[in-house]
Amino acid sequence: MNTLEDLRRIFDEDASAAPDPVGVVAAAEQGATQIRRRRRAAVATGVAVLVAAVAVAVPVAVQRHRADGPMPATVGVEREQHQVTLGVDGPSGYAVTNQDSYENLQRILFRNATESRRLIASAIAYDPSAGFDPTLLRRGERTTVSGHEAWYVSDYPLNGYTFGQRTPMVIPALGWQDPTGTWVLVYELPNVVHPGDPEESERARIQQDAQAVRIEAMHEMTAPISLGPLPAGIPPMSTASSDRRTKATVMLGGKPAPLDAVWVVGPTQGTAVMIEAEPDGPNTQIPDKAARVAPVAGYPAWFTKATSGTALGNGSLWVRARGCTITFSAWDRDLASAKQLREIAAATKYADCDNPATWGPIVRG
Amino acid sequence: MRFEEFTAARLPALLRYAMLLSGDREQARDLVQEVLARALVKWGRIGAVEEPYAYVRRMVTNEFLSWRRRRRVPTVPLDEATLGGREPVVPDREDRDDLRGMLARLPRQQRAVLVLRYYEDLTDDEIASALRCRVGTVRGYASRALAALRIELATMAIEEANR
Repeated sequence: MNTLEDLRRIFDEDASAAPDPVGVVAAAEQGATQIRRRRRAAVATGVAVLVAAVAVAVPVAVQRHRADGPMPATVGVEREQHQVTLGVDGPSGYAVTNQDSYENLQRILFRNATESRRLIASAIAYDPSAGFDPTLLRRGERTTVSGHEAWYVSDYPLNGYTFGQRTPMVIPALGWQDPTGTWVLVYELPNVVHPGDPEESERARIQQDAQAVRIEAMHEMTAPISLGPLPAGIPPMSTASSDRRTKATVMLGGKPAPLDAVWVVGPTQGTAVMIEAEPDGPNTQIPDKAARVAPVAGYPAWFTKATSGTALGNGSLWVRARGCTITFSAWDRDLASAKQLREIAAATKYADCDNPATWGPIVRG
Repeated sequence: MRFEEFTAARLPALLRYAMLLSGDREQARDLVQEVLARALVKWGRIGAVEEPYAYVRRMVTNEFLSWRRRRRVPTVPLDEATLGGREPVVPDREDRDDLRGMLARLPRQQRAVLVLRYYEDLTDDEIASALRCRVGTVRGYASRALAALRIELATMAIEEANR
């Protein structure tokens, strides 16, 4: 038999083992900032819907607005990793082929559908929180892009493109600051810059590319997978979606990608889970060693245990759904369990891989 | 009361309370952090109430009761091998550890009632208010919890008489 005195003594002992208060308030303040940010984003979404409704109701007014310059994005609203504002003007003849989003920057690859010779241009948008330093840019030649003061630099050092060299690739680039405070940098991918082209034509091309770029009202990145509620502590850190190759990638957890690592969404230090969705094809063969497991959300599924010594901590769950093969990989065995992979996969909505019209937000939250 | 004043005075108490509810240091810390984040967003209202601590403690209780399974942090139990040998057992320590084990297995509502009653020293009326349930429900939870913990009936009777 126990006594109430025993119970009280246990309470006193356990209470003395309570966690240290150091850092709790700072973490709570950070959490409060995120809550406020999410609320502002929700308000911004409402504003975006309202703007869309007005645009439908008053096309003449909208047309006049567009003639003056790009549709302005909401000022002062912070973006989540699965939300995007960077895009191209539809009527310009350009189309976005790939879109990446990180903590405080976004990147798009876009091309002019009417011009076959030039394949790909690229734009990076640095959120105001990124702390982009425009000093180098402002040393360039002044010009104008869609009504914004802009600068053209023929030898801009683009960090992240080192191609194995110690120094960054130096390329022509054009940049400006949007009224939202976002800095936009436009350039052509290094591997499609045409050697021998006179600089004048290079500059004219980039200027033309830049005219098509827009900072739009914030909206969700769409993909053939739509992730549901995610385990606590491993939020989406970067997302990527591609219309052209129908590939979507999401990294959960980990440190934000460094500002100069703008190439493809990939794991960073501390990434817990990597999710990739690709159309069924030669690249998405289920490995022979994969074991068939219970279906996920009604779709066939397989599991491969991680091989000792590989980076894939707890293995990968493979799901074949609606023309896509989706892999949920536990990148770090201490941060994500095989069970969590299954929970994430079960909470995911799967759209028709080949029909972007059916796609939903890449993260539903 | 400002948020900074509140946390300076009451954060350790909140952490102790969350520790007793959850029985896990990490979960206790997560509980309090999450609740304080939400409290900070609406501190204008909370700071103006008569007893901000009671309000925030109720938030912690509700958060604990609604804490979803997926939020649990996986923990690795320390076994004899990990510890490198069994800790010497003090005569009544074994019984109390057994009681601690039984306490950990209680349903959350029952555990919350016991902590509020025997650690925070709230009356059943106050507990009912904190949990937004009837006093009879509180007493039912307490009674079942104490029975599950095999708390001596004699001491219970004295306690009940004094309440």
